Amino acid sequence: MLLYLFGTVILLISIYTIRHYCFTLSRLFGGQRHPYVDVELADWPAVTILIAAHNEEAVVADILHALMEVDYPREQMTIIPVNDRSTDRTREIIDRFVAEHPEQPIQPFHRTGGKPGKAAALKDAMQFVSTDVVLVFDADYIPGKALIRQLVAPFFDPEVGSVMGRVVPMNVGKKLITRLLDLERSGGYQVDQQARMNLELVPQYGGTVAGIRKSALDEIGGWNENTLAEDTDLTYRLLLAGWKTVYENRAECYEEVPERWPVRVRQIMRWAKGHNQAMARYTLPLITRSRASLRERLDGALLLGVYLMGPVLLLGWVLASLLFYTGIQIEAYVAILGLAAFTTLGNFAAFFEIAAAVRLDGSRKRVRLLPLTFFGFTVSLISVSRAAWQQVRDSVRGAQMVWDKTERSRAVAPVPAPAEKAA
Amino acid sequence: MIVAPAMLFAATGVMLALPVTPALLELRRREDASAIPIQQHDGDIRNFAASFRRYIAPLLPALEECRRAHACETLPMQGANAAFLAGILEERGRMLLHEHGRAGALVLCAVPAATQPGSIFTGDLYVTDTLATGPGTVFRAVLSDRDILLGAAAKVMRWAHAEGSIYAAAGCEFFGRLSAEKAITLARGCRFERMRASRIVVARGEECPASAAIPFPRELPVMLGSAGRHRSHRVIEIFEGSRHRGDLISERAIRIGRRSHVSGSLKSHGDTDIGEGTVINGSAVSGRDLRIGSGCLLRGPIIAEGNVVVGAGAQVGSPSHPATISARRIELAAEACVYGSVWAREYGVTGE
Repeated sequence: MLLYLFGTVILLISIYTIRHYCFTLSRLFGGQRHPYVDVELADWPAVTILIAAHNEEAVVADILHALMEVDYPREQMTIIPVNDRSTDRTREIIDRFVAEHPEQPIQPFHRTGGKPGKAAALKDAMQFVSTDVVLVFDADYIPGKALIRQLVAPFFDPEVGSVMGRVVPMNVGKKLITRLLDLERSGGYQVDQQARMNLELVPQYGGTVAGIRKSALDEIGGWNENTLAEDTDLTYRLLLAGWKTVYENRAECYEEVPERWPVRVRQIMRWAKGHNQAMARYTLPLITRSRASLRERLDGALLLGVYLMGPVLLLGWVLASLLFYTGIQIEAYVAILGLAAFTTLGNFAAFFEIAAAVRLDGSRKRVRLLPLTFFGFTVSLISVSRAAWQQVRDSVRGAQMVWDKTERSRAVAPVPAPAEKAA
Repeated sequence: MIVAPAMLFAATGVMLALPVTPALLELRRREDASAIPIQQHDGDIRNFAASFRRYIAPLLPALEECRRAHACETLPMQGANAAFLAGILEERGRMLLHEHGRAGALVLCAVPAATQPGSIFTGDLYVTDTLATGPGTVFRAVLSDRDILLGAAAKVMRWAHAEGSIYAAAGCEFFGRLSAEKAITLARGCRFERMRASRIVVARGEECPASAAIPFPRELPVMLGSAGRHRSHRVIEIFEGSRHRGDLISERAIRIGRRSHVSGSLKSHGDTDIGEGTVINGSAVSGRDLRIGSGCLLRGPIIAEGNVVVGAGAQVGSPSHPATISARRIELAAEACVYGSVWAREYGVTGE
């Protein structure tokens, strides 16, 4: 029994290892798909930009300033900062910005009550959206000049329901954690997401630096406020309804990554729980009755299982030890060899992905940090396993899941004192 | 007794530390610790021309001085030469450029200019007036404040930009970017990569005079509303003369019959064929090749992962609604007209 369970673990790990290698090789040697990147001139549609902001006094002014610089036609753009029950100075900063820029198309939405969570806030904000193309940014992001056009261009394809851009950490050099997250983000976007685009699989809508077609959102029933990962949830509901999510690797945007390990742990635990929720909801419908192609179903199912691989790997280690110390048959040796193969080569698949991404980004010396990513990997492994365990425990107890906001480290934007304002 | 275990301990420590030493050094020194630079420019095809204009801006007073004095001067400049030309007009009111560009010099000309057949300009050229070139002239890069008239089989190796219009006779080749504020008119057998202008048109025949017949722009007939999208796993076929409201999406191919009208956009994972005289109100996206029949009118962008053929007299975009054609290879037939930009990832050609 233990042996079969261990064999299953080895099989799952091997599948994900092969998947990592396929993605990296596609990115390094395969044809690259950027079908919408050259759309330079067009009859650009009206677009609404939602900025999700919950206690974002440190960062919200920066994104508003950055959006003033984009080259999208002003008359086609509406900006809605979604101030979700903030208890800090977020409201004050937004209102001051609007007062100082009366010519700009900014219509703040100050949400004072309702269900917590980003999805719930976005759901409420949709009542103010009248355009078919909606872009979503978290408040700590700083969009570049051409980003809005790059994110809108794929919507000329009537099959596209959502678009995802690339996230690039800006506070890289601060600490070990920011440097490791920089490498991880490179691997995740430059290789993983782009390879899924190349291979026509399932690029993931990431919830920020992203766009969604309102008619598609309406068709699938709007934002799901009962999830911790509204992005993953949306990706799969769109896929099941026959809409595509596309990834735009050149639509790049700076973000602030966590600078403290406890913040990172809470972030990845929330992602893991939300992703596992989506796995429980959509794996079966995806396999049995979706409008997706066979390769999309296969990749979609594997993508749903990624956060389960943490506990699976831990289970593999425990099983390997048990089998070793309780006296094992010859097959167990084979299985242990399999696990050993994973710990050298399987893990290496993820590291290979990161190294390839760093090379594609033109960076040279940061790849030297690769051995240290093992620490980040270990933290993630323990965190997602803990998240999975809490999820099982909470479902037995019937406890509700709690949304953990990611803490910001940027210096707070100064707000003039009343005397200064009067002056 | 103690030495051996200590040495073993030290050796083991060194072996364990070696793989992470470069990482620890990089962590301490922070030699590559800045954020990855992200794309900040807006992707405008005219950026090269704008950058060149900024580069020559300090030289313009000297050029103006030459123009006043009807002089030709050559000055040293950053290891190369800058030739300022504003001498006596030689040929039909134009100054004949010949030797100046041969040594890689930057050439700035303050009067209407012409080139001899077969001239090769290895340096960048700036003309404040109209430039007319002889057959077979080769340029590295050209900027004109007015029009550029290129003789047969002329070549531009990097980019060309005209504040007015560009006219290219048969067999011209453009490697890189070609842009004009007004119009680009190409005769048959021209090869291009990326173009942008208010109007890009293919002339019929070998010559491409400034007075070439330009098709009168057509505006799209109004067809209100959209009836959602129709998605199919099969080939979608719209019969001749049909009208369809909404988007069409096929996981295989799409075939639109002649003189049809689609109010939405098209998307096929396979080939797309649009019959002659058809009007498409939205965009057309294809996973493979896309063929646009003669006399068609398409409002939105044309995006193909394979090749695009635009038939004779077909129109993409309109003066009030610019559009983009993006594909691996693009063929524009005679009198095809694009209002906006044409981006061929490999190359494009103009046909009969």
